Amino acid sequence: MRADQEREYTEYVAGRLPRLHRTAYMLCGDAHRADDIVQATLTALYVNWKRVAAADNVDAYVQSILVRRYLDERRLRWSRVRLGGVPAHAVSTAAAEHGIVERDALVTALRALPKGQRAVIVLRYFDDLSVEATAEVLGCSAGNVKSQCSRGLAALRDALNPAHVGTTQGSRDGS
Amino acid sequence: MMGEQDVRERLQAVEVPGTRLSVETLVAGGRKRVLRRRAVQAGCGVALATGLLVGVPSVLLRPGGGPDETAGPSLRTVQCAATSLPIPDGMNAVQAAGIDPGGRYVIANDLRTSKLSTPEGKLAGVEKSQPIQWTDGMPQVLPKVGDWVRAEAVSAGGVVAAVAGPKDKWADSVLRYVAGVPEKMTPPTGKWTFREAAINARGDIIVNGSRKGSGDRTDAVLLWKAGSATATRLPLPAYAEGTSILDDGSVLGSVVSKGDLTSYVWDEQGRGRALTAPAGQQGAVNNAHGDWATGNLWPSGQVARWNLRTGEMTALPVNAPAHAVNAEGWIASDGTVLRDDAKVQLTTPGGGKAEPLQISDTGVVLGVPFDDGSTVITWRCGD
Repeated sequence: MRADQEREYTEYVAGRLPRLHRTAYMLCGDAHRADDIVQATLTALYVNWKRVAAADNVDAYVQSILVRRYLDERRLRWSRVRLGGVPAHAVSTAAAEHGIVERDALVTALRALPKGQRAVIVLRYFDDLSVEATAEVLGCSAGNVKSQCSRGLAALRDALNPAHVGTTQGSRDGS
Repeated sequence: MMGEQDVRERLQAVEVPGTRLSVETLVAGGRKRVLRRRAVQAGCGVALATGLLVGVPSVLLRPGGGPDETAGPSLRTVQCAATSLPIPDGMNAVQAAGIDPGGRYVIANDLRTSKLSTPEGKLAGVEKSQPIQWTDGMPQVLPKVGDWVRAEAVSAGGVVAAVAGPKDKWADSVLRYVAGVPEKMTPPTGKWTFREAAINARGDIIVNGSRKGSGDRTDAVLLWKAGSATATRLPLPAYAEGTSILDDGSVLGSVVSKGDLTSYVWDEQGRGRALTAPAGQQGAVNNAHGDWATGNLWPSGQVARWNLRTGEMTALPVNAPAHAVNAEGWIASDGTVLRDDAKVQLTTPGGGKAEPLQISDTGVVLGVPFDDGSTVITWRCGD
């Protein structure tokens, strides 16, 4: 890579690294695995910077690579090694504070979603992508994004508000 | 009831542990990956007339299938025997570069890139590089011509293609080693820099050439026919880059035009046939051999394999650089060898993780330890 191109890459990564790490964390729920996903994504980006930088929407390219890394994570050698060593998420004493418990509950609920639904929820509501942009990143139709999003939201509501489950179930039962 | 905005706000409020990654680490990792991939691209060997070219492996053709899905109970596991090649005394930054299709010859370089500050930034060129060639496991330090030499490809006959240059600068010469003896090739008139050499069974060498001031833009793919020291400029589209030369003289490479990348196989007259890619994807060829080419699709990042005989493209659900392909269609990628009939396990002689870079037609794999130690490893994965 030419020195000027490397400088462009460095500036791009410096500006996006925290956000990419947060997105990866939201997807996988583990900081170490998030690092692995981001590292694999940005290494691939370095190798292909010349051609990716020429694209209209570099962010979309990078998000697409990152999500695919996550979706294919089980197949990747580095993650297979990592998965065995992931420590269980211990609930710290600080988690007694209600807000943290609630946020942990959200992460836990996210992790319970199928990978595809989780990706849609994170891209739509964490990265604030439109339905169309989410569809582009995931390589699927806008209709698919909408349906996955709807199911994912419903599952999150059920997980975070058990009373809601009962209500929903009750109404179903009653219908 | 929790609405969309609630989810949005709660996601934003999640406390995320900090990343351990730094920009410097990522740049360093990217440089290493590029060096490896260039070594592999340049190390594209040549197909022996094995007559073993088989149909597209069923595993690779399975829609949506991948190596893990294919690893059913009926699929055997091949544990390949690893050997660390002896490194000449005093060398401590050796990087594997290529293996010939017969698996007899291995080349590597004791290489260090420059870290000089220049008006354009750092990484101006090569600080030092000393090529090494192993024949049946016995190392020979190849003589340098100029300040540094980087061996990039070796043929089944043991002919080595290399580039050379002045300290801390890019390569300005192309070399051919026959029986360990260097011959400096005659470049076209003008000032050029060279990178990514490839060689075929005949000993024909191609190199990407850039005119001075063009940076890493390729201005011409240059061909030195076996036995000739005079360059021919291949009649390819503007800014085409070559990655491999097949035994019949066809050249694999790609062209970036208006932000779109397309890969081609060109015959000796420059007639091109585009390698197909799925809708919305661009196929970037990295290496070709015999009837096969491999590379990656973008933006998906998936490994792709093209059957050059039929034109058929197969996308594999593996997100890792596709380094090399052999005459059987086996692909070196993702810490393993992707093949239809077996799961391949590659570990270093010490049991650590490793990355394969090249693969011979005889199933000898060339690679490096994952921790980037100064070691050149071969694995015997053939049946």
